[in-house]
Amino acid sequence: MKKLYTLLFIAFALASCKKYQGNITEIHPVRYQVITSYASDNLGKVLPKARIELTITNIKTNVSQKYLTKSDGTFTIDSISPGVYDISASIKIPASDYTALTGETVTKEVVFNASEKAKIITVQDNQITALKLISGTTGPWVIKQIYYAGSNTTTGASFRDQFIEIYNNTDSVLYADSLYIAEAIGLQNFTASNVYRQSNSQYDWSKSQAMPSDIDANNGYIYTRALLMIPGTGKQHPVKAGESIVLAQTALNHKSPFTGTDGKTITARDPSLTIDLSGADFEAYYAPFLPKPLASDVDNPSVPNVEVLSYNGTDFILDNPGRMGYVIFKNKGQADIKTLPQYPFPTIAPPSANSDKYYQIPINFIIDGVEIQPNTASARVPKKLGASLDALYTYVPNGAYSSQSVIRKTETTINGRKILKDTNNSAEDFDFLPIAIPRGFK
Amino acid sequence: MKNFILYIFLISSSLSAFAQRRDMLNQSITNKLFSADSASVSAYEFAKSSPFYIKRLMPTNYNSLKIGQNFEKGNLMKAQDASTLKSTTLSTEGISQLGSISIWGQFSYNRIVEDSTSFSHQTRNNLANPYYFGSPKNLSYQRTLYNLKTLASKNILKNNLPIGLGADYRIGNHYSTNDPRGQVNDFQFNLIGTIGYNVTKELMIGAAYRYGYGLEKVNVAYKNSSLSQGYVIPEYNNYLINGYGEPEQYNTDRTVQSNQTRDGLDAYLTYENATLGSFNFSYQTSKEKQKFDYRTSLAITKYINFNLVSENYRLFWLKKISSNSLKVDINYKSNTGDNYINVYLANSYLYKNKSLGVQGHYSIIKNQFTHNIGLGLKKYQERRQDGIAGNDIRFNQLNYSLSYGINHQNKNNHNWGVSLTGLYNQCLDSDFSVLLANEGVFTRNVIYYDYAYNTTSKFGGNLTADYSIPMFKQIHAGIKAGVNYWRRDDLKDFGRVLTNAPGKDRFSSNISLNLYF
Repeated sequence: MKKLYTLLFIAFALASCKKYQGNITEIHPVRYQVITSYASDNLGKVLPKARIELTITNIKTNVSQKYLTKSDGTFTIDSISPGVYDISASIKIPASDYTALTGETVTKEVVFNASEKAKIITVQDNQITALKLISGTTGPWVIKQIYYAGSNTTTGASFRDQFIEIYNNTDSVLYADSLYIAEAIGLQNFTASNVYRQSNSQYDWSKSQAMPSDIDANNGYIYTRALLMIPGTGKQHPVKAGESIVLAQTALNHKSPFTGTDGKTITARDPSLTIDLSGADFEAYYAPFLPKPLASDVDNPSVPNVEVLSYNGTDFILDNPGRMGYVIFKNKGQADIKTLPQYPFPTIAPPSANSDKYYQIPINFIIDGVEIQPNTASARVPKKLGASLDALYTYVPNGAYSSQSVIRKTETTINGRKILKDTNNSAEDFDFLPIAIPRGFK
Repeated sequence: MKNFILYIFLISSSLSAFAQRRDMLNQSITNKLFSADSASVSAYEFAKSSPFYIKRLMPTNYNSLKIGQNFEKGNLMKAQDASTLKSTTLSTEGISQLGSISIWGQFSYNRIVEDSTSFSHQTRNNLANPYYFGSPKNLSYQRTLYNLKTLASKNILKNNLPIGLGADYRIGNHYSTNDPRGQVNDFQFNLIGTIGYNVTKELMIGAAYRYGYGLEKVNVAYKNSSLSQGYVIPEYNNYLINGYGEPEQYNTDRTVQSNQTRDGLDAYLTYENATLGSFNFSYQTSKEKQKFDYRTSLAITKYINFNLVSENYRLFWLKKISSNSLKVDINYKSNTGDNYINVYLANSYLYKNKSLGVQGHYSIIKNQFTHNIGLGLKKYQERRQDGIAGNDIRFNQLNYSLSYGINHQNKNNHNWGVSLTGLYNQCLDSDFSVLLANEGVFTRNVIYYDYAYNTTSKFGGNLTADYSIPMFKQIHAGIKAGVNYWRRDDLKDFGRVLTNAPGKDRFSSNISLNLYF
């Protein structure tokens, strides 16, 4: 009997000693390489590949690191955590260097960008990402500030105080007449299965109904939802160098109560959360063509209205979470923007006859573009603007209804004129304001 | 389930009440003297670990009630601890004999108010917790805990086959009173069944099976709607801490549920004779599985699994030398945890700690004085590895304690006592490997901070005094007060910039009303 108990005791003790795991984790940081090259083979032969700045941001932790490529355009990170990253590459080539290297005369530095958004780095070692650098237009006009977030829905002005500010970034007077402002539309999720998609999860516009097959529908164009135009005959709206125009959704002082079109008073209980837009240069006034206009869309007779070519909803309401691209452009040659083709979403099922259609705007018309994305990684959506317009994206850190705006950084000041940063990468070019300030600077 | 828990509660309460019904003044005085004898109290505390021991190491009758208040303040603390803490405790326990059955019961209530707690929407019970929410904002946390324990033992087959049963039920509610508001509800229920055999009059062996389960539900919300619409101030951001690396911002679906099950085996061996005293060896092992998931009315999304293996070897020696007593307690414990992340289908986090401690108490009872001399030495090592982050952090500490206490009871049975303890915590060695590329708000404020805290040496002391008198012919009532102070040495330079460093010192005090009956 004693032996039996002794045996049982020993068996108990041994069985209990069994453990589950080893001494090192199965997952570990991995080796990862970025290879950059120029999209143009000809330029790739003469332009420098060394010291291209790589920015790698973990979109879940929001921690960023910067690296510079070696002479062959590559950079290897020995240890990077598996996860989801935004990766961008950028190089600025001074005008004199660019001219000397390529023989092409340019007057200002040329910026090349490339990016990959939401790149998944898996648990496997030795992964490689190749980025193709392309240069974008750095035009005379730039989008300076976008106040898409709006202010608090109960104590602020909600979406009513939104605006976009466009800046003359040159040293001469520019005319805003016939300048177009548009929202670039695209797919707003990564999961829809009823549409044709590209590898980056965005719509495959080439599959849209009636899309010509001989054009690069995805890379040569963008597609717009709201499309507005500054009125004028050519020289009615001069904008001095270093000055801007503000396009308001509703050009009123939102800090003060005002009477809506339904006769009710509209009040922001906490005026410090909102702004005064009564001094805006233009406003979007949708009431004339809507069967049931928004009560808050009150026309300010002293502020000219923009011309509306296409619209969405009941006012020029910018997407509060920030899931749109914004572009400004002018027509080229004799192109009549109103007659540009429009296409429906590339749904797998044929679109119905009354499906919405969206203007197709050639990339080479576009002067500047800024992509906005939500502040939280999990809410982000497929990118709408290519690297030549905006390599990555920007956002206000506090998200919707936070009173914050994204604003282009000041790069330098010459004789009192501020020159804003424009490298076609809004992740680098933009900062934010805690409370939007029309005509403010950062 | 609720009815079952209520039933257990009622049974346990009635047993506990029965245990406390004996009402003799002599008994209360005996119990007070027992509480002043460190070696005997240590044996009593050791016996709470299993019903196997209660007949041998607990007195036949002992009942006490304690109402206490504790206050702590100071920034010499771990990153996720509270800089100010107030707690109120009501606890009652007792052992009695119901025929041939020995029954021990305990009920305790704790109300804790923590100030300035950050990155920690969690209970304080799951130290290896691999998956929880947190934010940089300092929060005021309120915790209410109820704990009910019972142990019962009976000798059968001519006192040769002692069998025992035990239950431990704990329920807790934890919530913060400012945004981001965490709400953590948890309960734990553990059972133990033991069986022993008297091999000889001096030698007894035994074994036990343990089974338990628990549940934690966590929710983080914002009362201020302007904060919930986005993260207006970055410190209000909610983070999901998954392992021991930089967490992800997590501002949607801020709920998580953890279901826990555990089972384990104990083995016991005791040897007792008049010459050598009482030797008690126990071995406990437990395997716990924690499953973390997100639940809606539509589906359950599995996040991670966590396995925790615990082992505990303990040798407890109690020797009576005339009226004096000697206790030596040698204890080795280890906890080993590993997670499994369903997204990666692989393990990423390892948690290990182990401690080896020796404690000795010698109690001299002479001329109405009880002198307690104590000596303790404990080696503690902890290692956390986070595979995704590439973090591997280890430290190894040695804790010393030396104490002396004196207690006197006069002929009127008035009793006073004073005890002084010196404490020293020495860091022996450590390893630090954290990828600089992942340095973010959690890495700076928690990982760096805790490494700095754990690798600096600390010294401190503890002074307690108590006074008690007989009351109402049945009770011995006393007041006990204590102060505790810790101070650290210089922080170790480990090549990282500390944006938030552990404070220089921490003070705590407590006062309690103690009744023995």
